[in-house]
Amino acid sequence: MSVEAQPSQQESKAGARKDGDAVGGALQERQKWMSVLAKANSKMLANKVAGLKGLPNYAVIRPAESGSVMVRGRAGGTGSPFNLGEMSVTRCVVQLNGSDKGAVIGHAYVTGRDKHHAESAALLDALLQTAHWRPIIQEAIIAPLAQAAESERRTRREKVAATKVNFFTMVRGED
Amino acid sequence: MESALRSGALQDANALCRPFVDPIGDSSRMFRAFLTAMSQPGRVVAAFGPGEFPETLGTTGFGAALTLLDTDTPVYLSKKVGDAGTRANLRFHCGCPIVDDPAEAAFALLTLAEAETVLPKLPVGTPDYPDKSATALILVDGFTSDDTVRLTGPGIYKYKTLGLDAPRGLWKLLRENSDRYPLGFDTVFVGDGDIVGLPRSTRIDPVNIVEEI
Repeated sequence: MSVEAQPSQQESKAGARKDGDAVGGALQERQKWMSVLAKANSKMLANKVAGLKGLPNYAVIRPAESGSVMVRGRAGGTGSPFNLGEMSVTRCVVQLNGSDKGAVIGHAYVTGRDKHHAESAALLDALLQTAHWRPIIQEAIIAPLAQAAESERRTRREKVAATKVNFFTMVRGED
Repeated sequence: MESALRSGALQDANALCRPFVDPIGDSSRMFRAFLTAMSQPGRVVAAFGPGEFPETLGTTGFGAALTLLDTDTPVYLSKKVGDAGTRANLRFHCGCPIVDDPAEAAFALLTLAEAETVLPKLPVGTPDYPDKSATALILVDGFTSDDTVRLTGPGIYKYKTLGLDAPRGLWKLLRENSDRYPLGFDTVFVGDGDIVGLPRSTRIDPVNIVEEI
């Protein structure tokens, strides 16, 4: 299987432009939690899902499958695009049935080949779209995971900053 | 955590259906069925589809769509077939572009009642590229044991009869289609659990109709 560059993300971007700020805000929120879920540790995520009580039934619409996507970059962020290389991606789609909004569809694209990670993330994405589960999951899962990721980033930044070396060139005084 | 088993057409129109349980094996078996149907025109070939399906397509129609459609095949959906749920399912599972103009389609999904209005609009290819034509998937209730038409042509030993309760105008249209061979569209009748192929190379003659159609 080869995955084309994440159509869901492109669609949501187009949607944000079209539908104005209110919808754009909801989309941004969803992008945020999808990002947190995709970057989370798989085992930690599975434990958190197991901790949720009374989960509704869900159907796996697209069973987790792994493939590769081409990562493209631009030199300096502005140059012409080049293909950096392929990376493994696993995607999954689940659907909650009989919730307050009818059929709710949760998507997940995660890096690597961990199918359980993709399925947990897709399920949580679906649940986060329902009024009942959103506050529960935001508080129990998204907030702690986002916090953990942020503190890890900070530690890393501090470690790097502590070893910062300034290079300078001696003026040779030839002028 | 797996959901309870459900089957049949979905209640919620916007819901997505679960596709083939074994995507590679099932679609290969379905593709084999299509190969048999197209190489032996008029033969009723067993076919199948997933347990969940959009109501307008039926299980075999959905199975056919999952097998044949992808991002490279623009699809035309007739009025009776193309409701919101069917469109959503095809777009999600097949990723196929859905076109409003039958002339741009590589595949057309339609009911038997709509065949006479849709088929004449399908592309028939050009003399240089007769393959740039469409394949019509016509959804029918089923095939009968009467002999409605007599088929002759490649893939048929002597002749073969086919029983299908279709308007006479449709047979006339399909006959005219075979007259312009190698141009023309190909047809597959999709029943409930079986399919019949009718490529453009097959000659159609009436059985019980005395006057020329």
